[in-house]
Amino acid sequence: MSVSAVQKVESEGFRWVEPEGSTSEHRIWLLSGSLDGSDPQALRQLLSHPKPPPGGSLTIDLAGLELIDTAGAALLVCLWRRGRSRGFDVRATGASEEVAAFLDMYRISGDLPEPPRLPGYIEGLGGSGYELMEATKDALFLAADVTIQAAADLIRPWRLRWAAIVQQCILIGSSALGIIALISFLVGLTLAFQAAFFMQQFGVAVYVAGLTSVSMVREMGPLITAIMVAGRSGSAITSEVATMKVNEEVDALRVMGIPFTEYVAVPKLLALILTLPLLTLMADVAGILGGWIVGTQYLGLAHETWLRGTLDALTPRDIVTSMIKSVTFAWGIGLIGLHYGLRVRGGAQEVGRATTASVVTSIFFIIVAAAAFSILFYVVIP
Amino acid sequence: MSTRPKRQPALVVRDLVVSYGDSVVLDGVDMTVPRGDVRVIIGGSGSGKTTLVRGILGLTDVAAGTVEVLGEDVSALDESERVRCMRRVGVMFQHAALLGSLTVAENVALPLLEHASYPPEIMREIVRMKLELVGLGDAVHRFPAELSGGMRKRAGIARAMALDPDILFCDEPSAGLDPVTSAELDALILNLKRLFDMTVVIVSHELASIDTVADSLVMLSGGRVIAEGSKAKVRASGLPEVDSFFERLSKGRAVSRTSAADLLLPSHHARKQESQ
Repeated sequence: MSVSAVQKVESEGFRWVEPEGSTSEHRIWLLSGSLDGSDPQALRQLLSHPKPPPGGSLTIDLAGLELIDTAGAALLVCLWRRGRSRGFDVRATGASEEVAAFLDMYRISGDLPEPPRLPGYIEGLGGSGYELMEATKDALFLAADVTIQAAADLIRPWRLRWAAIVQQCILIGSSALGIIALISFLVGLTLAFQAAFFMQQFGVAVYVAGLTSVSMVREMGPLITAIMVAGRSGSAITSEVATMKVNEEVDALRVMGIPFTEYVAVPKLLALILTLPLLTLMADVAGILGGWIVGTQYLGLAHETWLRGTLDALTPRDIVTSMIKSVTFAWGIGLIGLHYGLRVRGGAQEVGRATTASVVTSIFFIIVAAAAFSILFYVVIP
Repeated sequence: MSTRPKRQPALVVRDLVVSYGDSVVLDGVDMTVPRGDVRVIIGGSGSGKTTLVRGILGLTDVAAGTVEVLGEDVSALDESERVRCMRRVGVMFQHAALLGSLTVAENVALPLLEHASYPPEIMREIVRMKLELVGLGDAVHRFPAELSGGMRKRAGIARAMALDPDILFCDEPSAGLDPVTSAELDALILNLKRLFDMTVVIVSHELASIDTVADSLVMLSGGRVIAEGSKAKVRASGLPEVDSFFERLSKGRAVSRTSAADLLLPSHHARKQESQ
């Protein structure tokens, strides 16, 4: 069936005509002017115009074409691909030397590469399991390596990089003092208010002092401090180590014969282990102070009564428990920070992802460990 | 395609001054690049080559001077007009500056998605063609972190070329590449220039690369243009800075410093003085 000779498109500088003799099976297009990206609508129309059926042909006459750019060339390639997939022949004729040279520049391969296949459910599950196993293995090796190295260095303290440890202590500790003190104070205050509200009703408001101080020292103080340090310092450790990894600094240390563990990891871990218990002690005191404000100002207890209630309730075991917890949390935060930093492969985006994962894992670790310690100290060895 | 009329110069820089605090990095730079020219900006480290390109591209604030890109004074344009004008300019950064979170194809597609409204099928084909052009047809779905340095640079060129720019800026294209990859990249730039009739402005201090690609040179020293013109003209200028650059003679800092041996071993110093 022949198609009528009509001017299909005439945009600024571009003309497209389907002349007499063009049939629906064997189509002929005459393109002239500028086939370029300045008129995306014309490109769209050419793409969507009816094509010959399978076995037919499309002849594109480029004789009148004065200018073509990459978008125009891409259109011709798209038409050729459609013909290939739908079984009609696409040919371009009459191209000027310049147009031919331009088209000749682009090497077109028959098939577009397939995007990488996404793993199926079972395959994905297996892959995730394998990755988790590898990550756990790496984490255990790192934990053993850094812990043994730290213990060995503590036996021979002259080998330690004291300047780096002190610098890390300042970074982790002194800069976090204010925020941890404030949060602990407010948590102590809130805890005391909660306890006071109920205990007042039973006439045992005096026990608010003991409850607040024991809660702060045994549970809330270590927990709040560890979560704050995980957010501030754990993330900083991960991003620093990850950036070192991306910039090949870790490899540079290795080829210089400087162990990463001794040079970078141990100072950070020891600084955390030294600093976190001190911050926890300060958090305990700040929380107790918050409770004291509630006891003396809201409940109207005497200062001596509050002090006696606190001292009667607190035992050295509570403080030892608090310290054991904080040292364990510090060890976990340090190792998790280092582990995620060292696992980074790739660029800047991976650094951010590793940092987020490090903080989430650290907080998860802290809460699980806190629960385990509660069972240990209240049930197993009460 | 070489059918665009040749009218005004591709790039005109007049009296460009860039300073960082009290330090003047570019001190009244003038440069005119005709259309279709491959202009290489040469000079020692710290001479202001990269700053000049950054100043032209508006990536560094300029204290004074004007920049005309394809006949438009970009310093006088508002932001939207500047963006429109700069669409005709492609830039390949020194370290390619590919976005690490995107695949190679997505990186190349980025300017097309932002500035063109082609049908998706044509857009995919353009990306594919550009990557084939730079020899990365097999790396379409790979991430930049999975590419070698040379491949990253070629991907950077493909992205810079996505919108068929009239001017291509390349900041040290050969830096950090082996001689073979560097030569391939030079050939690619020449090919692109020939086929697209592009103006190419290259910052480089690789002598082999300069010899291969440059139509003309501009030499900077201390933030000023000290020589400009064809390769032969610049080399024949007789300026000591030009001679030392091309003859790779160490000059200034290296020889004016007293060696540790001179300081520590008076006998060695005396012997050296005698021999001179």
